[in-house]
Amino acid sequence: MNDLAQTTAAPIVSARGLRKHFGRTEILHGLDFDIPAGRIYGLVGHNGAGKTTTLNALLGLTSYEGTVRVLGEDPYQKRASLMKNVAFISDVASLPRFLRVRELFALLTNIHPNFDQAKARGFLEGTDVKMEARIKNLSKGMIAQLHLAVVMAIDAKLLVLDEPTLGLDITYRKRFYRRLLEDYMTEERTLLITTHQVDEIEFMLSDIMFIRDGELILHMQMETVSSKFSQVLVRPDQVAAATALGPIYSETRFGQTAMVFDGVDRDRLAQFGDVTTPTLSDLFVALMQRGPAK
Amino acid sequence: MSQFNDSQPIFVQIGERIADMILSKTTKEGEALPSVRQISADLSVNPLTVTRAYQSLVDIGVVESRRGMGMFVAEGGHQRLLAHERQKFLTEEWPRVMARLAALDLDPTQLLKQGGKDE
Amino acid sequence: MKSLVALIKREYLEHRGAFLYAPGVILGIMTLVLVFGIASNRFQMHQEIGVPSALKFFEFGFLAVAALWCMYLLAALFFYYADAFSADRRNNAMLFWKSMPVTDFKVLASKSLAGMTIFPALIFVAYLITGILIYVVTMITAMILPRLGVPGVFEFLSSGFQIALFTLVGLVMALLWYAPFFAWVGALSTVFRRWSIPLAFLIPGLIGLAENLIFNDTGPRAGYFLNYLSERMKFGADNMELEKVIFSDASFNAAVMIPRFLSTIDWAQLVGGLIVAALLVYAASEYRRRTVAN
Repeated sequence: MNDLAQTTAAPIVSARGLRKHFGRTEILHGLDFDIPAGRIYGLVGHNGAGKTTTLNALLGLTSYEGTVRVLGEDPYQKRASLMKNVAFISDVASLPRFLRVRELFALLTNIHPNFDQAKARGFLEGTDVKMEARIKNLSKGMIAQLHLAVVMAIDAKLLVLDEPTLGLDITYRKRFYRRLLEDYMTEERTLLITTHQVDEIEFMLSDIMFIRDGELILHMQMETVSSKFSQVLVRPDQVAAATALGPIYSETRFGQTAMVFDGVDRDRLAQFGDVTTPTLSDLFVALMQRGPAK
Repeated sequence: MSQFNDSQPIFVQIGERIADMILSKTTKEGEALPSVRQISADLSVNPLTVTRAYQSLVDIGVVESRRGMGMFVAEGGHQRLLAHERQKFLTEEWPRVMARLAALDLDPTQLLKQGGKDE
Repeated sequence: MKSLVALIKREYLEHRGAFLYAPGVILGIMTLVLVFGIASNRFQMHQEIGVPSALKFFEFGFLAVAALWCMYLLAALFFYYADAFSADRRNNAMLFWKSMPVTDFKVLASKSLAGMTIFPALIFVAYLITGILIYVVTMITAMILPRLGVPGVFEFLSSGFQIALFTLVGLVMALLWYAPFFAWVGALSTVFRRWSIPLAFLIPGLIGLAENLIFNDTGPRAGYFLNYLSERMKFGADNMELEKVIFSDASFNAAVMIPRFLSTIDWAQLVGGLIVAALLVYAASEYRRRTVAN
């Protein structure tokens, strides 16, 4: 059985003082974070919060201020060499439309040293994607399957998924994550996902980052989340008493009051009502509403 | 999506499901249990969480990990699990039930008799 | 390296329309016209054909179509470069290419090379096939006008080979000569996409206009800049007294014509142009390195 203790290996991704300006506007305000190997990281935030900009900085797609190291290299300077060991799917399917599937595989075999065509073909078994098909004739779901098959056939150390299931129906989304977990994730691989559908991946994550207006307002392991944050369905007569303990969020609906507490002992909260762990979406809403002070 | 309740940690809930499989003898001693990867994919859960669930069962000697082959129900595992669950029931759940009966002013002996009759 | 070759193959797959299918159609039409002409006995040769012999007729025809195919190639390449250098900005394709371990420079280099190798090769093959058609026409003409005589197959082959070789050298030199112009429209395409073609002419025009306005009548008419450009755009066998050669009695002699042709080339300009082309491609790649958004 594997030891759950953290090793002191170098982090896969490391950012210090990551800033990004577009013209005069500062989009990212000096982010600091490390992503250790073997984790499944979620990055959640509203549109325009800076998720994609952060990812772009990590993938060498954009310049930035501060320091970013991915697998020990500066991604902006070394994007091409980094992409041997980093794979990413960004947003909408972007595979070359004019190629046939087998032509795409042949191309990848020749330009990507870590692409295994046999594996990619294997991942396509059981799908409707045929080798002779032209990519532009595939449905959106099939392109997503193909892109995932390609990415999973690359022996990468870091896989970055930027809204990978956007616009896909539920069957494809389930299949997508199932495939990832079943056939791809190992202790040596690290996964970084951004998505709006937080609930879908909540239990897959080992760590979570919330980003709001270019700042990281939460960065912790999922285990820590469940021990630090509590949600209470407060009985009406206890609302005042509960409020005195300083919830970070409170919402009353149909006469029921739900409150979220940060760092308050569960035993103390039990007297007010049912205590549960907030879901990530509940927590997200709670933290997004809060003012800038942490 | 909400196949897990929100009051217990996920690894505990997964551990209980695996324990159920063993208790009900769906998986017998010496037989293979689903792999970490398999469970992780089936439930869309982080593999580390599944590992943790299995670890808790390994710690009480119910499950053993065989190198390169996966997780198996240990010899005598069923007995050990039964003993463990009984212990847990008697120290945690049973006292709670008794307290509740007392609070509702119900006589347990009466209940058992009635329960038997109405069956 | 096989990565570069694979990328060139990608260019072929994406843009073979103008270089494979269109010439195919043109050849098909030519063949049809020929067959139709033969079948319906439309070959009416007037005695005014001033060529002394069937061989000369063939040579004249083969050289004429050389010029035509060269013009076709140069025009097609101009549009190819205008399109290819921004092709990856459509349909989010850039996100796919940025996820591959190939530098932006290598991608643009592969496009530059595809335009210098595979596409001209295809047109050259079309040219050779046209030669066969011209041979057929020659034979028919010889049958109608017995005074032209019928030279042996060997003489036709030899003459055809000489002319083809001459055309090949001319073609290669033309490609090298016009390289900076292709690189210019390509670089503009990287930045301005659809506007690359109009801008390719507009910008030099504006520069010439500015020069004229500022320096007002000093220097040559239309100014130094535009004069230089119009000279630089000229390429061909003007100085070679081709007409004399064609209508002389001797058959086309590549051993004489090729060196004569090469001596008309301004090598300093050629090399300078290649350097400018390389710099333009490099600048375009640096621009592309910094852009993610479409």
